[in-house]
Amino acid sequence: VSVRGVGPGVLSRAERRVVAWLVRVYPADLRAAHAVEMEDVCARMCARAAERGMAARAALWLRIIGDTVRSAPVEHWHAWRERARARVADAAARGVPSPDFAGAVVAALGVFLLYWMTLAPTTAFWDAGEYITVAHVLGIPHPPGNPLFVMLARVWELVLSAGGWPVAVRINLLSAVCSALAHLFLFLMVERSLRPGDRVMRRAGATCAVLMSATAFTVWHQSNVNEKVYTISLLTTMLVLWLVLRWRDTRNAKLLVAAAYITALSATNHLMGVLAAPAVLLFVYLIDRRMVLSRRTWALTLPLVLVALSAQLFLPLRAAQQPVVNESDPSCESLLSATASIYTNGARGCPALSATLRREQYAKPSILRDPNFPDSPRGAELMIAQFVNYAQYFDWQWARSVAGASALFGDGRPLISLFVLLLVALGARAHWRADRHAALLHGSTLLMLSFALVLYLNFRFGYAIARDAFPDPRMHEVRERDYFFLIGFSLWGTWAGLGIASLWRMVSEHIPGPGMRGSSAARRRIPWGSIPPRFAAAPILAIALVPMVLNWSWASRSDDWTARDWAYNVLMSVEPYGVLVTNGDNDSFPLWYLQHVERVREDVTIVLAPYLATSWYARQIRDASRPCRSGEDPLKDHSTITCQRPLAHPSVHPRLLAAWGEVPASPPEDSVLPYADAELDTMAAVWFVAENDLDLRFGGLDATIREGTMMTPTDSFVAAIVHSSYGRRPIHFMTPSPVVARLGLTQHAVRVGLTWKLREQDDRELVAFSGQEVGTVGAYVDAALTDTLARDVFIVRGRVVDPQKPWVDHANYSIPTQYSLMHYAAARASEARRDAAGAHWHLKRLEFWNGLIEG
Amino acid sequence: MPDDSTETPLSPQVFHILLALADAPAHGYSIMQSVERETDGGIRLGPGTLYGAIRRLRREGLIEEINDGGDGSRRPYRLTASGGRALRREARRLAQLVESARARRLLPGRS
Repeated sequence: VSVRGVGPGVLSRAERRVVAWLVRVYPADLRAAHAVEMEDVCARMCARAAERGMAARAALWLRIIGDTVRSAPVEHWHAWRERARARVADAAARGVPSPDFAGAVVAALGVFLLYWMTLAPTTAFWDAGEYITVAHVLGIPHPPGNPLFVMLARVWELVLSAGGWPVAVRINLLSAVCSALAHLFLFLMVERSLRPGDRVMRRAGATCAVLMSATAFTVWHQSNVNEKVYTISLLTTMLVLWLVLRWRDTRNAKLLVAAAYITALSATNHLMGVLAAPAVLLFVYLIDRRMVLSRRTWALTLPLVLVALSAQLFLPLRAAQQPVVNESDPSCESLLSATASIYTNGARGCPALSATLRREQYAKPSILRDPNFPDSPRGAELMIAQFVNYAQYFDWQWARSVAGASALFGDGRPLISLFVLLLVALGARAHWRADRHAALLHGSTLLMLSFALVLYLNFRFGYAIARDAFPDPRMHEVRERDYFFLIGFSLWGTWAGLGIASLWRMVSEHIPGPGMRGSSAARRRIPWGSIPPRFAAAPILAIALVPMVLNWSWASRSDDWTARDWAYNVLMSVEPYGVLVTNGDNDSFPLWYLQHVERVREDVTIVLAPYLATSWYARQIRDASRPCRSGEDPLKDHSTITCQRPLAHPSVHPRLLAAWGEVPASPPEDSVLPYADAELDTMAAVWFVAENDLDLRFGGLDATIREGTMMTPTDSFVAAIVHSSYGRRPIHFMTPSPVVARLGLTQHAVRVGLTWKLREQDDRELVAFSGQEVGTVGAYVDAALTDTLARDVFIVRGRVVDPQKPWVDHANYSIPTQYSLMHYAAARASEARRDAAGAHWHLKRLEFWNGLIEG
Repeated sequence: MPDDSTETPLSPQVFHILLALADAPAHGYSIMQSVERETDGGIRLGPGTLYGAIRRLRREGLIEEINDGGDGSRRPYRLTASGGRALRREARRLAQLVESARARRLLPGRS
């Protein structure tokens, strides 16, 4: 830095460096124009301050630094604004259409408002509990681990913490915002494609498209709760599609590079976000094939793609810290092996991370094989069933409440779906006529995210498909899978919306307008003759509101506390420091949410039986239930596995505390699985068929594994838990429990609230059942405790008690069924105790829950 | 020159920079001292704030650089005709505000 004009020696060398550094903070054009002057002014100010002593000089420097901190961001903002204006002016000079951001923002705000009004106030069934929990504890969900979602959701949760909303609402809002933003880009795409049409037509078309897309049942139902990670995929897909359309207009290659970066980043959320890539490449190739082959573009793109994929490093880094949810435990020995896994997509490197990235846990067969019989090729019957399944979900999208109780093509619903298909055809035609390349991009993306996805996913028979022909539930998906097709339904909706706008245009063109030849007479004959044709035909646009109206009662999750309250009621059914062996998503993930987010009944050791087939999970169960060492605080960090957490009395209803009687003053003195790693690894590898009846004895319990029973690692682990914990901890199971049946323990099952508990020596007032009931109700019921739970402790509120609101998901009818079974058992116990009033009360509750199932 | 730049009220800093140039051209350091003196130290411009404002005022055509053939470290600036109009308009606006305040006896009347 040379400071001219004030003579040498005014500024020390250090001061000259500081001045040079400060000047560098400003935008380039300001530096180019005034850097020398700024340096000169600094020198002069210093010279003047030096006359007043060192203190004045020091104060001056503070003033100059403060001025830089204040003014540099302002100058960068001005510079950015000027550049943006220049770009817009340049684009306008070249005839590049400017995006209708104002319309898009209004549309996105409208969509957000809809999702906000119907937002879930807490967790929901299936994976919502898991994803809300991992966001909160920075955990690792099931493969592929979704690191982008976890990091984004955690930051989002922290940013929104100032709003005072509960954690679940904050995470649910992430879904709503992502979906609303996706519709912002969808609006921009459609509006652009309709150019050079007039503005009213363009905005009407884009608005209809946004409405039909945003209110399609699955899009809506996934946007008002964070059940999955697909709303992020929806956002990235729409953003990428808009970026490439914008690139076509501006020919700014940076937009393509940005699209590639976002696609790669989206892959670290879920591979769903990558499925549009072939369509995008085709589009770019058709517009300018040089871009696809350009070395410069690839040289810019590849490093950014590698950077984006590095988000996967979150998985091994966080797994090593043992978060409370750490599915598949993708820990790695070294950063190098983790990096090798990430950049070879699991072909090399760290085995645990590779297994997660490749989803080996699910052992999906080849798409050429039958998932039910992997040795057989994928047959025509199954393929037809898979496409019927897709058609079933398509039929849900536009009028879910029409014959809602019927999951499969109910009553008049298919007619509405056929009408929507007609609108889709009209919309696709209008899109093609207005903008062939954009229509091709849209159509090929839709193809990838619908039909190609059906072929790739290769599902078993749908949950509700061909139940009569294939009654074995193992041949069917465990739940409805419409969420996989969320982006596709958004794209179908977009074309349907364009179809509505097209219909409006066609009708308005056929209404005689002022000034048309012979129109005066014609207009006099019709009652709306004085209204301009577009306005006269405008009611047609109201068709776009049909899905919103007919889906509302089914898609809305407002006031839906069912899953949260179910989790609360289950956890309260477990006695202090109990082990609860659960069966799957719905009886586990909402419980995780309650324990790790709301911190309710953290003393209960939840053991998700299907995960017990793996040694990583067994290790986590062992570590989470081990006694704390001296000086170890189990409550210091709720996000990681430390040791057995204590029972927090304030979270338990006083009447339940009283019903329990004596509550242990301190946690049990041993883990539920007190085994070494090697032993757990061995157990995780043992499968056998019992060749004879095997008699077992767990403390005072006799059990028999019947001859021919296939024993899995899960069974071995549960037997080990019962062996080590029986008599030390209450052992509960979610019902119906296949493990209890295989281990021959059903005869010892005592119904306590919504769970079964293994009978203990000091259990009181048990009422016994016999015959076939035992398999569903339990061998006994603890009448007093179940009665206290059902009457005083359980929470049942909100949507579920509103007779006007349907039970939306028939795949989790097991939830009301569990309540029904509990009330049935309690009613029978009341009868046995000659308590007619009690029996009546439970039977009324039984009727209520059965009513939900019957619709 | 964009209209909006002259129609909207000027910020105090910009007003005083223009005021500093009202009588004669001046370079940056001189403007800084003049503003500080005029405002009794109420407004003390730092180098970044000063040259950011000068850059924008030049772009908006309110001031211009005088080519004095120097080395560029002390470039003098002067008001343009538009800058003069903007300064007068702002001065009138402020005077009207003062008159309004006087009419409401918020300020003492003219002596």
